[in-house]
Amino acid sequence: MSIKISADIYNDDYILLNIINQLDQKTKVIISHTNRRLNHLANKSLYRKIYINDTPIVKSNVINIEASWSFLGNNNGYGQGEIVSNIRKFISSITPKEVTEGDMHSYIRHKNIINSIEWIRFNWDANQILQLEILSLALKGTNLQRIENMVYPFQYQVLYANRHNFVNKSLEQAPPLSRISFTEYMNFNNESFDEHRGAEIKSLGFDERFGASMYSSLLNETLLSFKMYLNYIYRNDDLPLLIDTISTFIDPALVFSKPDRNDKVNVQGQHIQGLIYSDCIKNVFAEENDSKVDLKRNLPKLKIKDLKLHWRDDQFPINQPQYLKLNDEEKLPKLKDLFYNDTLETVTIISWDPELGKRNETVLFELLEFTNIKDLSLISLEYKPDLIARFFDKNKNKFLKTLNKLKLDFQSENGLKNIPFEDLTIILNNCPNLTFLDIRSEYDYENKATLVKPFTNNDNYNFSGFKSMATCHCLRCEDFLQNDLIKKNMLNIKNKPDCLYKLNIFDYLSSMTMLPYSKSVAVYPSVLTNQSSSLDLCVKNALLKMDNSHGFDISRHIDNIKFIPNEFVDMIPQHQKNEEEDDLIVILYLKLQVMKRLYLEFYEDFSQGYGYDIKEELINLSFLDCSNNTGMDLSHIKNTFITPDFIFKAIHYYYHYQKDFIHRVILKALPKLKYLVFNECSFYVVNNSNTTQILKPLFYDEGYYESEDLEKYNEAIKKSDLIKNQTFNVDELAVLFRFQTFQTLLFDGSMKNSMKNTALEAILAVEKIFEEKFEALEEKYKDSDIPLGTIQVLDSESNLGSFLKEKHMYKDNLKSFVSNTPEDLVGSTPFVRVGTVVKQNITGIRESQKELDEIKYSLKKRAYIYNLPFNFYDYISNKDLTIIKGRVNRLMHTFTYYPNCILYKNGTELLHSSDGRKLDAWGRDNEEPDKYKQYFRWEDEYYG
Amino acid sequence: MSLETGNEQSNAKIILLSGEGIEHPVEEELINKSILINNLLQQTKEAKTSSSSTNAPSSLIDDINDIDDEEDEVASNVSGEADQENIVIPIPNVRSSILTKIIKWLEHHKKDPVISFSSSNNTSSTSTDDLRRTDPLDEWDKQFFTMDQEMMYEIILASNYLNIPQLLDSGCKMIANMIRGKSAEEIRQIFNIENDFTKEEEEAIRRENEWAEQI
Repeated sequence: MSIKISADIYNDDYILLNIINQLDQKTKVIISHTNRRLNHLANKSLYRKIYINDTPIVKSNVINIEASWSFLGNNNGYGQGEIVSNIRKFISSITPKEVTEGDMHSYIRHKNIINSIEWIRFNWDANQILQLEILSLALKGTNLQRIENMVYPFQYQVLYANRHNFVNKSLEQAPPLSRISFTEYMNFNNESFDEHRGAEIKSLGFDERFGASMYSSLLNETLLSFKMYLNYIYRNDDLPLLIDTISTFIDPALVFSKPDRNDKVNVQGQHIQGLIYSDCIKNVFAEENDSKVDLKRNLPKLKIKDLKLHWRDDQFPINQPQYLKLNDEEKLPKLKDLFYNDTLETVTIISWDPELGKRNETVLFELLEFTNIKDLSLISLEYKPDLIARFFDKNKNKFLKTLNKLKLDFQSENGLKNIPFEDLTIILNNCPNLTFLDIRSEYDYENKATLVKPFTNNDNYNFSGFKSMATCHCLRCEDFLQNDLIKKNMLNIKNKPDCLYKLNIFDYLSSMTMLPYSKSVAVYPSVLTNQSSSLDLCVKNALLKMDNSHGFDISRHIDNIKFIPNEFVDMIPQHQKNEEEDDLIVILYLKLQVMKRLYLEFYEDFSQGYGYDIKEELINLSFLDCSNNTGMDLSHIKNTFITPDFIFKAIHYYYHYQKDFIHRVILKALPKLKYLVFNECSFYVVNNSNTTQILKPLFYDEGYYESEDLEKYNEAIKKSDLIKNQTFNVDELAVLFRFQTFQTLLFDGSMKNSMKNTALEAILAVEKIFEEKFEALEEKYKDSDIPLGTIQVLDSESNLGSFLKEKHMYKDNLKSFVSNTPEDLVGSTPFVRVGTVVKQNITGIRESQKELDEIKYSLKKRAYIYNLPFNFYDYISNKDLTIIKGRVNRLMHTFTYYPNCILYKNGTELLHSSDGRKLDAWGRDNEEPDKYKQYFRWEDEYYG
Repeated sequence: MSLETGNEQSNAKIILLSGEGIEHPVEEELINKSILINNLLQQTKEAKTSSSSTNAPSSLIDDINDIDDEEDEVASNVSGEADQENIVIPIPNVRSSILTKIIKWLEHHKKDPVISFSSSNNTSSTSTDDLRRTDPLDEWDKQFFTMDQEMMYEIILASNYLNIPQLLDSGCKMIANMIRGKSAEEIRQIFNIENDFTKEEEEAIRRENEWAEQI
């Protein structure tokens, strides 16, 4: 049945925008290409909330994380090069266009884009100048309301310069950034200063006055800027009341407290003068005729909704000296004296600096007076035994009934602390209306070892120890317990008894930040905070870090490596442009090489040193074998203990371990709960007709519903008309699924990571399919130095640097970098780049010589054990055979074409698949659907 | 607008009158999920209180002045005395079969937690608008919308008219799922629209949103 959406829906702006708002970023872009009306609405949605991300976003199969934000930056894990590249494209999009006759559409479109921007979340780790430019341009729109994460003190200047056409509702203090040196700050206007950067800053309208103000006695430049901007706000009667968000690195009392000149304690040196009242010789945010802040004026209470406090005295050492003057903290104003009770809804307190613990606690308890707080995040608090009982006391805390979001974690010596079960119970009993909870707690499993920290000494590190902590007896958990957890740990403990804590996989998951983190699931996206683009890379990096403790000193070098595809470093493939169809194969070939390098390079190179595949050996060993052989010297095995596959199994085990506890203790107490982050695992809670609560892991959920999903899957297939009519059999559908997996993997860097193994096999299959073509390509390139990718090594003297240079498949290509290094990549960190040449399969795939049939068989098998992608059911439930076939065709074309692929030669575009712009998301050529038929026949895949 | 605002829950029946003139009795507690009708009923009650306190004869409609255009249209047709137990509300542009479906949906979602909706607070981290978009389509709703496409569109239009945001969201999510993964040309076919870009425009648009493509 074809889909036709009625004109009534299409003509209704509100409904149409609502539909677009439900879509992911990629589809919004496609919609923007359809016609003018949809372009207008898609851009409205796409540009509304911009999130500059320095690490890739981890998508969830369960919720639509992308629904409200648009991600600008490091989406594929290529680092600063990708961020800079994307930000520049974005800047180009929001830069004003001249009105030219005959091209009014372009002008109108730009106006719509710039006026659509409402909220920008900047990133402290991305290029500051470019972000400054984004702010400067976005302020030319009419709708910008909120900026998060002030990254650069000059941003205040930009805000001030645009004060007449923008009402800044957020008051954010920029953090001190080491990259802005005092000299740089002072000399930004000096001609001898970096000419390029100076010009950029000048073009944004800065002048000398900014530097002159540095003679103030204030402690650093970002604080000074904040202070001057505050003065500007407070000179105005109305502005303070429009501010609805405040983020500060210093005590709010020290920002806003009003000096009382008549107070006797002042004479005794116990007087606190708020930042806003402190002296400042010259304020750049003031006109010549502006009056100074009236020191006698009473501060208006701020009607803020959102307050974020960073207790960070190490960076803004204003707090301690001030407190030292005080004998009595009571002299300071209370939060309630500074902020209106009725409006304050969201409070975040981040405790960076334990030195300020006492004051932090005082301010924390001042919150109890507020009655309307709905969202509270207390991060890295210092744990005290009675703190939770005192704070979550319903007789004293006035907002517990309104509180619906709570994030709470405590710092301990070895990272974050799991609070005692009794504390958790207090919170659950006193916050009945929570819809979001992020907490770490101990479990109440009776007579069981705790999973998070199971063993404190080697004596109980044995089979019965592991067995006693099992809470789930599903096949996969049993298998993991028997064959992975125990076997591998038992093997290793004999060799490294002193590294017990490192071998605890669950501790390891936490310490290596394997699970995606979000400040607030559903409000902000989740990222892998360890800077890796995928769990696979994360595992490899973490593994190498772990090896560091075993005497392999390579981790610090690995940390400095980033793989950057050519399109982000302007590398130069020296070949001529060929016929179009050949180009497509070349592109695919390059992509495959990039893929293989990303997934296999480090693992292969460093494990091959042992001469054989240890993983295989381990998999084939039974527990009994291991027990019998523990006297063997198996030190070489440690390198391959932790593989992505092992991590996924561990995460599954971890989820299942918690399931009973969460249902019994947390969900029972919190009937309205929707999002739960418990001991770092994120869950979505589905209220099924208000009778049952179903827990769904948001990330890495493969296998969580293994048995149920397989049943559903089989059931769906049985019921499918297609199957009834024997149009497709189960194997064929599995192959379809595998194609989709591969397509997703190849073109989507942040896909579901657990499918990587399947995808790697899919790559093998593709290589087989295109064997002839690829052989020709390899023949063609074997004697030339065409770099297909680049590895940057920040430290050229490292072992790894030397290691790479020695390898025959790498070749020094330093010359290429001299003239082609993008300036933004050079940044502030000097480094040397080692060019590499990838000419061959470096992964050993050739040696395995798997037959296509064998690969296909394996893929079909694998297709069942992974979670199904969202639209797979569409494939099997669609009644129209033509549609199914069409989809197969589209999938098959993904092998031969990648839209938007660009290759550069001498800095100019060599291959730009402009034709690809006409392709759909699946790579299908709409005009000539059979164009690439000769490369692939789907019948071959099914029946071959 | 909040559904929570001082609304006394009662089991009083409201009669919705479809376009064909067919009556659909529905509990007030259920139909309160329609912001349009909820507002209307509240104002009706206020009018009733006001008229009884002043003891002056007053038409129900006369007292409803400050309401939206859409509400106006409905309000102007509300019939029945304020003191009668049942209030009849004509919904002239919604067919009977659609009203039946909507009531079925309301019954199923009867116990759903009340959500506050706000259109003016888009840049708050507590904005429910954005949170709703993050939620997946409810499984029951997915089944609910397994129907003739035309009927689904009518329900979406009616939910927009009656201002039932959760139902409208579900309908929009259904359509969004139909669009996701389609090419530009396929989307044009779905909406039955023409590509009205010039070649230069197409190229400019491709460049404009290039930053957002690689995700």
